[in-house]
Amino acid sequence: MRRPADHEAMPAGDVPLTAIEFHVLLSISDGDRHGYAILQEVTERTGDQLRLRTGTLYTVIKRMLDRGWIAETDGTPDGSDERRRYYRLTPAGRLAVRAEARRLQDLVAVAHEKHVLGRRSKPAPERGR
Amino acid sequence: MKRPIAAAAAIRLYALITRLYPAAFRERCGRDMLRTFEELAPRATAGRLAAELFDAIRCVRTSRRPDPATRQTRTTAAREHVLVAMAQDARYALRRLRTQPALVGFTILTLGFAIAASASLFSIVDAVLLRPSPFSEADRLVNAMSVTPRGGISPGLSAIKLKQWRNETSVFEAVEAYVATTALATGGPEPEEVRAAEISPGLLRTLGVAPRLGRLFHDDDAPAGQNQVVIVSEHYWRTRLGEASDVIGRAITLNGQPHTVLGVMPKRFHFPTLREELWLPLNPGAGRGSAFTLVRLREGLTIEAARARIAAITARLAAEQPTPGGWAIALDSHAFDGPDEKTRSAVLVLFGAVGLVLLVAGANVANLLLTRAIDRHREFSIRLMLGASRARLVRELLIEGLALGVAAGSLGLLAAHWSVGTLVRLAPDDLLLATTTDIGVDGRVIAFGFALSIATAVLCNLPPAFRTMRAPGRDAISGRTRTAATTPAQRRFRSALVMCEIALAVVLLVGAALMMRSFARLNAIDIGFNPDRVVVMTIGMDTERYGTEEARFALLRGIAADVRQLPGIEEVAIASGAPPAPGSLSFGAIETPAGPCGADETGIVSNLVSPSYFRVLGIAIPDGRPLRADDPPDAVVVSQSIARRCGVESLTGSRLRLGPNAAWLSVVGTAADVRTMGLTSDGGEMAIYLAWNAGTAPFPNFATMLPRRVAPRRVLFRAASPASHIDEIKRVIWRHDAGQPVLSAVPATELMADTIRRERFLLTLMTLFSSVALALASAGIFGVLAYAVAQRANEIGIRVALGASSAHVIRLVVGHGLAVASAGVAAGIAAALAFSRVLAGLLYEVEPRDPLVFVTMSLLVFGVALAASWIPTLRALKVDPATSLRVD
Repeated sequence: MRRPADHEAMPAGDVPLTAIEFHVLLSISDGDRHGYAILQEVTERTGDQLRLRTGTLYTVIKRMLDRGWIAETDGTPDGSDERRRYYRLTPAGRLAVRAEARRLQDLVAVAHEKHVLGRRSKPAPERGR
Repeated sequence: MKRPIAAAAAIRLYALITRLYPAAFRERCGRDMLRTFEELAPRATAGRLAAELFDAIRCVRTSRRPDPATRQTRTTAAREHVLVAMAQDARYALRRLRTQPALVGFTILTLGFAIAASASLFSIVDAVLLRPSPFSEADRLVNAMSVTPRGGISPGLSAIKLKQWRNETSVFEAVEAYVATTALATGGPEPEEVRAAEISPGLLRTLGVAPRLGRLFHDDDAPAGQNQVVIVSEHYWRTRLGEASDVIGRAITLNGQPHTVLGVMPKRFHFPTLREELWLPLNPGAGRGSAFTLVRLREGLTIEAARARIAAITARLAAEQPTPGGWAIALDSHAFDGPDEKTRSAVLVLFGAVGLVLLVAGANVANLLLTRAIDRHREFSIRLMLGASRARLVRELLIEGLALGVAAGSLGLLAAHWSVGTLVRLAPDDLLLATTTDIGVDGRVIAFGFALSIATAVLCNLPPAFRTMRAPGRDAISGRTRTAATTPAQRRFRSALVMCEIALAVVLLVGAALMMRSFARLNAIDIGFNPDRVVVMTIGMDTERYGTEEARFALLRGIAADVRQLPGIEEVAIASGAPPAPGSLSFGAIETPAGPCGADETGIVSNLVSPSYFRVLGIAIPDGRPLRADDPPDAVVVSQSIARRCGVESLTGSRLRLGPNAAWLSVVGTAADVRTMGLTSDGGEMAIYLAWNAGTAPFPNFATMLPRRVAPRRVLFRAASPASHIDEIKRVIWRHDAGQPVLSAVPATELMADTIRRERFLLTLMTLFSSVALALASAGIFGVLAYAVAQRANEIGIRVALGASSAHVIRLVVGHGLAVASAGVAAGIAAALAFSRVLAGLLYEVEPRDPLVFVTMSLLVFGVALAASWIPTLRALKVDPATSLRVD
């Protein structure tokens, strides 16, 4: 069997992402971030609901690096610490996060149709959100 | 302040944890992950730090798993950490072991027993033989002996020699003296005689031991207050002084004088023999003739070099200051290196025997596992063909062996933990006293047990793998089943294993049988008296208060008269000795008016007895009569051995003396020989029974070997149930003199049996070991035959179909069994012949190559082999020819 090489992106969209994968991809979707920044962004954005820890973060980072969804950026923008790495979304990663967002959107639509998110009396306001 | 410290510690810990991640992970993310944590840590709460650390540990596992999004398992698995793979193997191996509970159970039990036996004995070997001497640099400690001007060697040095040699610092670092003695201890619940040693003040320091409590002697303890201070053994402190921590400075009464306790020696400190409980200071100059001498050689001086220097100094001293005794001394090289030869060889023989049991068990287990491996041959072959690596299969087998070994080791060590106590109870005293540590399952024994167990199990589990490795596949998927699964070579190997088991069992059986025969011989010895229903009470008479034999006799006669009055007592006698303790042993040349008997001096046991002594012990007097109360002091009864030494059957009516200057004695009776020194020791037969009032006059060179403060005297009585009278009689004795220690009160049968305790210990264990070996060997025969029958069922069926009779079939199976047994017995006999010599020193009147033993044991093994063949034969007879024809 052949092992996918590091540069070869894994086809995105086939597999549902885990919540953490999704959050990490979202976090760097609007700009490169280093590990600590990702932790902070995710924590702030989720209102401390998702307790992302360093070990878990890097397990996910490693996995997605292998899949070719994210890449380390060359150089250190502020030059402060050469060990610090920034992560950037690759086109494959962008595909993956988009596919996941769509999948979730579809799911939420189904949830609305089935009135899971509220009573029958006020279904509409939720949809606009 | 706290926060940064916690953070720094957490960072360090985190760095350690990151090392556990797979290499690929560390290469790619390791540094950055740590960097991120370093950024986070100083700002995090303690709870967060802990959560981070746990998370990092948890992710070690996650990071090793293949990406769930990919479906490639095999190649990723190959890249996994080797430990993870091994954990998987272990799970697999254990699961497989669980599917064969009977086989696994039998393996663990067999090995477990062997390990229990080995570990128990190792605990003894370790304590008795392997532990280093408790004395520091014991190789430089030697006994010094005096060399007389005529070249003879006598133990101990005179005070003059001692003083002189103490100055020769070019040879000796220290010269110390000691004398064994006893002390009469009063003030406890019972007065008692205690073994003690008088030692020069520096001796304990020279040995290099430290007291457990208090201090050792100082040089000024000896001259200032001779015998007024004492150091006690740990045992004495524990049993007599109530383990009191404030015992130092307390006074105990010894020989009627208060002695201040200066120190308590550590547990299992023994000097000079194993039984001393007290140490008193010795003043070498104080009127003592000579004392045993212990020297410590100068550092770096070999014993040969020391001898050379001693020779030179002796010559110089002889020229400078000649003395009639000369200055020569000799060094005894083997003074302090452990237990005596017999104890050592008994322990080693047992350890060897246990080693053989282990080998038998190992062969048995190997055989069992081999059976299993043959069945697994197909599985392994298929796996090899499907791409499993050989290393992986070997690893599995190793892990299986490891698991079996650990299980058997745990079981065995647990059993050893329980059985060591029993072993210690059975063991002879001199063996236990020779130990410097407690006997028990300690760390060393546990390490030994597990090492042995795991090594055995792993080794036994490996050989099966080799064939599979060599020739994978060939017949794996050919559809042929068990018939093809074993090669002739494999069958031969299994038979060879069983043959070895039988051979080893034969060696053990021969050893046990020799000991059994020796033991039977010992028990059949005509001891010359009847110990049944007799109790021997030993009373230690204070030689200061009862200075003369008359005084002692007066007291004892009074006691005997009162004891005689007690209801139930049939007969009472008093004596200075009773077997197995002779009265006194002295060396002399026997003379009759016709001339000297024999050329040399001989050891003669002399016993002061009351006339009833012969009746109580039932000693026959074939010619003449026992002593009578009205006999003159020179009347004696002699043993037949003495008469024979003088060339006659009876000396009754004749006269005899012990040496040219001694007084003549009139022999009134010639008594049967009695084993006065116990069952195993010869030389006690030359006995002279003297009347109480004879004193020591007949012995010109009568020398007390042990200067004792207490003279042992015996009160013997016969009664229907003698043991029930002991307390009563003690009270009678103390009514006469409250200060009289009763040293012991033991049935005479036990006293004699105790003299062969070592032999009984050896016999018990050897019998146990050889029975187990025989049982295992027979299980081995059974296993091999049963398997062979199962394998050859087709062949047997075809033979039967072609007209073979039952007799043929029986011959086929039993013949196989007997062939294996014969080969095993032949090898076993050869080995036993070679090894039985090591038993020679432990046997009594039995030749190590006793033909009867060899023949009976061979027959026994053949009988067992036949019995083990029985069930497989029955199975062979039941083979249905039709079935076998249909299968092929």
